[in-house]
Amino acid sequence: MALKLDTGEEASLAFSKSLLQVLRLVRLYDTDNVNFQDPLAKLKELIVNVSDRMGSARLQAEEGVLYFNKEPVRGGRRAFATIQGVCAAMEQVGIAEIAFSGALSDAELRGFFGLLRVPEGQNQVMPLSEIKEGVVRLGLKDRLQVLGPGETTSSAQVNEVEIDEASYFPLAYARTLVLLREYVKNLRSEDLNRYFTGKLHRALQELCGLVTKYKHKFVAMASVKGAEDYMFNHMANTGFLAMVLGHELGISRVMLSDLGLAGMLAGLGRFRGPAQLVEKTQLSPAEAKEDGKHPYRALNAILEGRKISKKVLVSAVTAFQFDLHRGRTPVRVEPEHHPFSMIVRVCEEYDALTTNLPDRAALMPDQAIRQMLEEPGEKFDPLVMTVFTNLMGLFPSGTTVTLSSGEIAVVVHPNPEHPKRPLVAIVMDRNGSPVDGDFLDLAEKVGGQYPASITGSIDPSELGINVPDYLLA
Amino acid sequence: MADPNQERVWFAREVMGLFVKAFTQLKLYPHDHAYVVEALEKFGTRLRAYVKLHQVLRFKVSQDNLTVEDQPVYESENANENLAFRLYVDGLREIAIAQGVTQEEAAKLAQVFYTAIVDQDSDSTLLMWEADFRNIDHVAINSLTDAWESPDYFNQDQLDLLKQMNRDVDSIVESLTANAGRGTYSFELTDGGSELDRADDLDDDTGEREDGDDIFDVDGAAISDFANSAKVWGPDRMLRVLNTECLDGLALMPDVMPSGLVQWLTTESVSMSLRSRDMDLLSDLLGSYASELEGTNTSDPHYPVFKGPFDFLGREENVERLIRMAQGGGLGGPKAFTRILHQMGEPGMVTAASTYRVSESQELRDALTDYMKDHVKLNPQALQLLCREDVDAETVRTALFVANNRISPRELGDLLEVARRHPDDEIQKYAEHLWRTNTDQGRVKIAIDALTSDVRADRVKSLKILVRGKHVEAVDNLKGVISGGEFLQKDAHERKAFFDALRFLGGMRAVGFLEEQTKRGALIFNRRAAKETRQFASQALLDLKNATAGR
Repeated sequence: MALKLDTGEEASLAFSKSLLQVLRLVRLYDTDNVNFQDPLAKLKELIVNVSDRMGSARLQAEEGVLYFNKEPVRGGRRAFATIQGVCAAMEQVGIAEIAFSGALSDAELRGFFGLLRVPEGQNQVMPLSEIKEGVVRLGLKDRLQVLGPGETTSSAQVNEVEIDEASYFPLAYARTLVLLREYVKNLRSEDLNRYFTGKLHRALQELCGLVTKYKHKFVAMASVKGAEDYMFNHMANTGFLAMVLGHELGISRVMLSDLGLAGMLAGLGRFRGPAQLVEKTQLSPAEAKEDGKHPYRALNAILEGRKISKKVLVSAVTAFQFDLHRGRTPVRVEPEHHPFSMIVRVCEEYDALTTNLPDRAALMPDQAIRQMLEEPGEKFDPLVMTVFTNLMGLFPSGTTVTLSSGEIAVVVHPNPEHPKRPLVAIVMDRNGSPVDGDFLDLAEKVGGQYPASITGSIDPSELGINVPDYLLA
Repeated sequence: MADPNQERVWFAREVMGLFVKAFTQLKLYPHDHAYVVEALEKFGTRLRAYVKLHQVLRFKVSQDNLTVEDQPVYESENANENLAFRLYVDGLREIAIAQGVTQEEAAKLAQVFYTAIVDQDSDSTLLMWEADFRNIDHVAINSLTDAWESPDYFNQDQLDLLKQMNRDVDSIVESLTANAGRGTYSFELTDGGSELDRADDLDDDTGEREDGDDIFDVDGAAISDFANSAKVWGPDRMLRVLNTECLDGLALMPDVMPSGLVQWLTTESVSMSLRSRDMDLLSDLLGSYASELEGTNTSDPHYPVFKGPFDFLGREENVERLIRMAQGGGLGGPKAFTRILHQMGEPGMVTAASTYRVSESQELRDALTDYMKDHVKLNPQALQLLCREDVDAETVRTALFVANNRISPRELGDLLEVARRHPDDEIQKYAEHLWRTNTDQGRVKIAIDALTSDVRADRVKSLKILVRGKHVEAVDNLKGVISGGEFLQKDAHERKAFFDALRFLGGMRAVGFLEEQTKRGALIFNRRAAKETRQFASQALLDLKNATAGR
């Protein structure tokens, strides 16, 4: 039966599963065992199918992340076991990358997998160098490539930017924020615009390379408030959140950078509008009418450079559409909505709700999500909103919570297995005195007991707590 | 036996040599030109042969050259076209091409290199990244952690701004990390919140979940659909929507959306669709501009916004591009092309005829024939392009078929004038036939010829036609028939009809001839007829005089 793989995700998962099955069998049987017949036939067909479409079928395992032809293997909860299994199986045979770039016969496949078996009388597989020699000996060199840790040729290696998290993320945040500020302020200056555009695009590209591994750092970055004027902070945070939400929604790596830029520029129209409306949420009818012009102002600003590229198009369309649901902007015909506008709408609303503004106090992150979930109608795309909620957790990173122990803590990392028991940083002891911010895993039992439970969330500003202190560092 | 490392170097030099050749072709010719295609193919084939043999081709990038095994494999003496320098300044440090690289990827890589060299505004690291190669990787320096460098084209104020920005970054970082230093918890990579459990089902005390219950269960297929829905938003679709939004802005909020900006967008959009060879897009855009034009008169300040793109498209060089697109399989095919022609109005007919002349595709020719049949009235003269002496007979026949019964006899006559000079005998005959049967000139010619017919009914009918059509060019022929010897053998009614026709068509110019006829003699057998003829001539003269006196 011919395999039909409509998407890269299906192909990556099918290939991973098939390879895992064969790698497991290698540990149990000789490769001429009858049990190999069907799994090998399936793998063989997948190799042909994928190589034809993509040039090669390349699996790379890096620190628990599995990449298939440069894209992280996805598939949610159901794929988790497969991903872990392939990473472990590849590690067992000392291989970090395996790439098939053409059809292999049954005998050739059996020959190759035979190299991965523990030789008789020994207790471990042969060294990688001997496996490589075996590949050459079998005449497979031009169709099969195996590489060890540190030798990988593809994205796993390139994306593996050596960063010191404690210093990188505050710096990345600050540089992106300042760059965005000057980009927006200098759209009309040809030289500066050219320079800042290039720098901003590169900054986003580099951040996109880190989303897979550091998504909660992105959420943490987006919790920074007040590092700059509200408008720029808000624009940057919307972009960060949009990138991580887009990643959760399966948006490809390259498109994530477009999405990040679109998220950051969504507020451009408001920036170009009357300054007194920027930080105002309670608007008179006249003010609401004026605010409704911001999508058109954004188009005007983005097209000011008189240059159209894919990034310009995505940014313009998203900036125009993300806020149309308020009904303040007149249009002759309701436009088709770009999926990015749905993502940016959620992120922009969340960041605005969780920011203190002159006429409205910030909501706690959990309160903001609840309010957004309770919005009537389909103001927010249900799928996007659901994925956003899952991403943030019941107590999103940055939520300041009270504990049953009487202490005050800041959520620094949600716990997917125990949603009500995230990792927190204790910021005040039970007497209300500031403490050093040691981490406490609320899901880790001590002497058979949980250390504490969350009893509610509180406004950190009332207690003088600067949430980013506990998130970015 | 050659040193394998040295062999790699030689081979890599050969690969880069082929890139240099491809680069030259890319510079000289349109990118779909056969020379370019061939050069890219050679580069790709050699590159693939390299990785097939040596598994990975890894270039190290330095300011001056690209190296393999620490030996230069690419250098350029032309500083303006030095690929290595362009890659280096954009932060690229290594490019690795792995086994499995496809011909398409190789061609795309050459295009990236080409753009990096010729487009000074491009960023080669970004280009490599956006190309999203599956089998080609790059290593670049991290631009987010280094201070911004000062470009040489910045003035002092701009340099001061950069310094201030760097200071602002330091200050923000300081504020963000002021209270840092706690905890060394390292985040684990998890499958994220997608596995959170249904909040309502959580045990309030323990926060633990019931097995198998997801809180906000998300269907993997729904996510896949969502991601795919984003992918289908290509630049063409976004450009359509952007145009609609800007035209809305112009109509509803002209204070925010200046007409100059929208005019630039509409014209640029047409230019983009020509560049991307997307006739579907072009047709849709023109359609929306045309519908805006319908309700706009020429004095309206927005008129140039909608008319501008049509004027731009009508430029000779753009019409030529359009014709090449139609011939070379531009997106949308003949249907989209004929929609564009329709939206172009009168100039569309000239474009259609020009395209028909050079088209080799029957599908396109059929579509153009249908288009021309429907639109020939807009510009019948355009068909003359298809009837010239250097055009093949089949094409002329189509043009005549299109024109026949669809344009006025006068316009058809002009066209047949051209066609009748065609060297093909069959075409000449066909054109002659059409000229005689379907044009005024042809019909007169037939009528005049029929004046000497042997059949009385034909002669009388042609007299009627000539008189009814006031074809004064027949006067000499009438005189010729009347003065002929056989005239007296016709019956009196017919002779009278000839004199009436001559009087009517010749007017005062026929007086001299009529006077001669009043003296006409005859042989013995025709005396009676001659007498009648003289009477008819006299009567005609009298009628003419009366008519003149009565004026």
